[in-house]
Order: sequence, then structure tokens, then C-alpha cells
Amino acid sequence: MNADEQLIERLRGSMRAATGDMLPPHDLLEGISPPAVGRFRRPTSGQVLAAVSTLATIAVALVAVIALGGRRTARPTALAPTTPAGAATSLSTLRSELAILRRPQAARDRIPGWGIAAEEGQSCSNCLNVVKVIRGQTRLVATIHVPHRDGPSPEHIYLVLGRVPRNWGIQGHVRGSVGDILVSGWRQRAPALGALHLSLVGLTRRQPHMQQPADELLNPVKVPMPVEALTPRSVILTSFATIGVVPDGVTRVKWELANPTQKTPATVYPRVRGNIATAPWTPAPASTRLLNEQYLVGATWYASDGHVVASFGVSMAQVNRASSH
Amino acid sequence: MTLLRGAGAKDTIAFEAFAARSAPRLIRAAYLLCGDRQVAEDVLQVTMMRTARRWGTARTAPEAYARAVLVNVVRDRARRSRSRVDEVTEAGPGSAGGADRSVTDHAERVVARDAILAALAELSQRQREVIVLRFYADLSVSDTAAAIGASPGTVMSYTSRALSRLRELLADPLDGDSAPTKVEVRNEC
Repeated sequence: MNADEQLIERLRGSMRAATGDMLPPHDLLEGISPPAVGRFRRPTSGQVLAAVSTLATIAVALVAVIALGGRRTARPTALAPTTPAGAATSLSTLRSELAILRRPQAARDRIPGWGIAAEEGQSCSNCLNVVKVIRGQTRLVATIHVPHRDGPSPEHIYLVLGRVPRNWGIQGHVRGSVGDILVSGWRQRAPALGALHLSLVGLTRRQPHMQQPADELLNPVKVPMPVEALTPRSVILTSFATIGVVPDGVTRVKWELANPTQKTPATVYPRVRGNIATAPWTPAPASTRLLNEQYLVGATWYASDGHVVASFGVSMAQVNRASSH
Repeated sequence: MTLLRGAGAKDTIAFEAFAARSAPRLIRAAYLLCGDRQVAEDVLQVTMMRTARRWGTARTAPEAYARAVLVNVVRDRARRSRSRVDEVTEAGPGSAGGADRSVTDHAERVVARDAILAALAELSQRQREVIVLRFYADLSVSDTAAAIGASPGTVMSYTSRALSRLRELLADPLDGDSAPTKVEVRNEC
């Protein structure tokens, strides 16, 4: 064996030893599949006739809908999420509602390994420890530049999908009160085992002064975020911005934010870009020393024609009652 | 009425079978090319997404197609972050310097392995590609040429230069008297 062959053998051995135990995470490739392709087949005359009659029926129905639709206002339209608010949903349903999930996941959309470990860790009471994060379905939705004594510290907000493990055993822990609902902006429900879970998670780069996910510091909710479909409550309240997810077709959003001492909530119209609504932190009235954004007390989604797609709201009395508990 | 006859389910099954079969090999190759596990996962994911998107073209020889995509993804990432040094570790030919001669065989193997990986990181992008594809993935010269988009002659030339460079880098591999050498492991992906 000459010197080259010896070197090649060493290379082979070292490369195999260094990678022998390496396997891709099982969920890394979840959701990746070839696009549906079709093949054109010449239609028969009967099929053409059937197609024409079907199109004629649809056209008549559309004319009728348009003619009658003008008389109605402020009613949910076909843009409303197909899943009732708060109900468990499926990945295909969410993908049909959110363009951001239909685009391919880029490298920057991926949550770093330490972030996933922290989110899934049982020791973190405020993280996504009720779910197993689906790595292939995370998306970076916003970056907040938070001032820090060592310079600005970017915090990345991710849309995260996860599944509740079938052996998850602390459902009793998530018995939400209205206070939890208001504080987190997330409906409190006992998670269905195996169900899909939609969340917004804030993470900052791992730094010596901040080893934990930022949402633990930013989001005051003290219980795990439970299972939920896409609803107007899908909002994360951070100390520097409020960020929400909206389905395709929603072009305008209204949020009502409050702290318990306010008599009336502050109304905010966030900027909507694609599936993401963002608004900077708004100062509370001078009479209070708290943030406005402690509670999301109301939210409304509007379509481009002004129709209300979905909404929710609670009274300030409920807020005060919940916060005093 | 069926004007469009979908071939989606069949393709999905074929793609999933390919992904299950090839993903371990591809992620290991990506790791050897990039030197970072997290980056290797990213590279694999992007590779699989691109392969899935072009499955119509890829399905005749999916592994070869995915390898070529993987090489391109790694190159793209390397181009974007060429000047960045992400990680500096003290590892290399002399990292066993001063070690007791009674070290176990296993420890010696680990040190030698780390030295080789550090030396691999010192090669140029193309040289590293040919080394990984030819001697880790066990590809022929022509398959390697197809994967990196070069001629077989170029592959042989890169291989020869890479081996010479590795010989230089790995000279005197376990000299116990040499001082520890600080090797910068460049994450070029």
C-alpha cells in the first residue's frame, strides 16, 4: 500500500468515525414532498358537455351571491378560517390558510437547536413544553431589536407548529381562567393529545446574560400555551412589540390592548404584511405606570372589502376580575 | 370527470422512500463539507426541498441529483459567509502534544481523527468536495465530476492536490514534543 492509499484509508476511517452516529432528526423532512403533477388527457365530448353545464351552474350561483351579498355587512365571509376558533386543526388546514407555511422553509426560518431544546424542556414552565416542535414548519415572522446594555439584542419571533405528545400527562395543569386567556392572548384549552399546536415564540441569540428563550422574559403567561387553531387571539405580547398571525385574505386588523387599571382599552391598528401583523409598543395613559399591552382584550380581522372575518372581545370588567384573582 | 390525472401519491411515496434511504448519507456528507451539525441539517433540508420540487427530473437518479444539489447548497452558503470564522477550536496535529504515552488506542484514534477533520477544513471548497465525495461517498471520478459540475480530469487534479495538501497538513501527526497548534476551523457554510 503506497502513501496515497494509506492516507485515503485514514481519511475514510476518520470521516466515517466522525459521522457514524449522525442521523437527521426524524421530523426534519416532515412536510417535504413533490408538488402534485398532472397529465393532460384529451376529454371526451361527454366530459366537455358536463364541464360546460357545471360552469354554467357555477356562474349562475356566483351572480346570485354577488347580487345578494351587497345587502349584508359585517358578516363572516368565506375567508373565515375553516376551523372554529379554539378547535384543534390540522397541518393541511393551516397550510391552506397561511401562505407563510406554503412557502419553502428557509434556513433563517429554522429555530436553532438550543431554542428547540429549551422550548421542549419540561423545566421551562412558560415554554412550549406541551408540544414536540415540528422543525420543518417553523417560520421567522419578525425580528425585534431590543436595546440592551451590551448593544441591541435582536429577538426573533417564530411561528411554531408542534404536536402534543400522546403521552402528555398534565392536562389538568392547563385549566385556564379568563386571566390566562387575556394575559397570553391564547385560548386556554386542555390540549388534545396528538393535536397540532400553533404558537408564536420569541427567541434571542444565546448569550451569557440571556440563556433562556426570550418569550419567557417577554410573555408574562405562566402556563404552557395550549392547543389552538388560528384565531384572532394568535398574538404574542412582548415588551417591545405586539405580533399576530392572520390568515390569507385578512388585510386589516384591530387590536384592543389594556392593563387592568384602564377604563377603556387602547385601540391599535397593526401593520399587516402577508400573514403577520405587527405593532410597536404603545405607551399607556399617563395615569398608569403599566404597559398597555398587558392584555389583549379584543381583536378583529377584516378582509379587503371591509367584512369582518373573525373577532373576539371581552369586557374590562372581566379583565379586572381576572387580574384580581 | 377527470381532465387531470394526478401522479402525486406515487411520487410522494417514491420521494419518501428516497429521503429515508438517502438522508443519513447526505447529512453526513453535508457535515463533512461544512463542519457544523446544525448547518448540515439546514443543508439537508434545503437539498431535499429542492429535490422534491424538481422530482420530475430527479426521480430517474435521485441520489445523484440530490448530491449535486447538496454541493450547490453548500457552495451558496460558503459564498455568503466566506470571510466569517464561526468557531475557533484548539484541535489539530499537535493537540495530543505532551500527552502521556500511555494514552489508550481509542484516545489516539480520536486525536488522529480530529486532526484529519481539521486538515479537511483547511482545504479549499472544491478540494474538500472531491475528497468527501470520492473517499467518503465512494463515488467514481465520473460520478464525482457530475456532482460538482466539473470534468473528470478536473476531479483528478483536485484530488491529487487535495491529497498533497493533506499530506503536508498531517505531517508528523502525533509528535509528542510539539507544542499545541491552534487551528481555526472555518465554518464556510
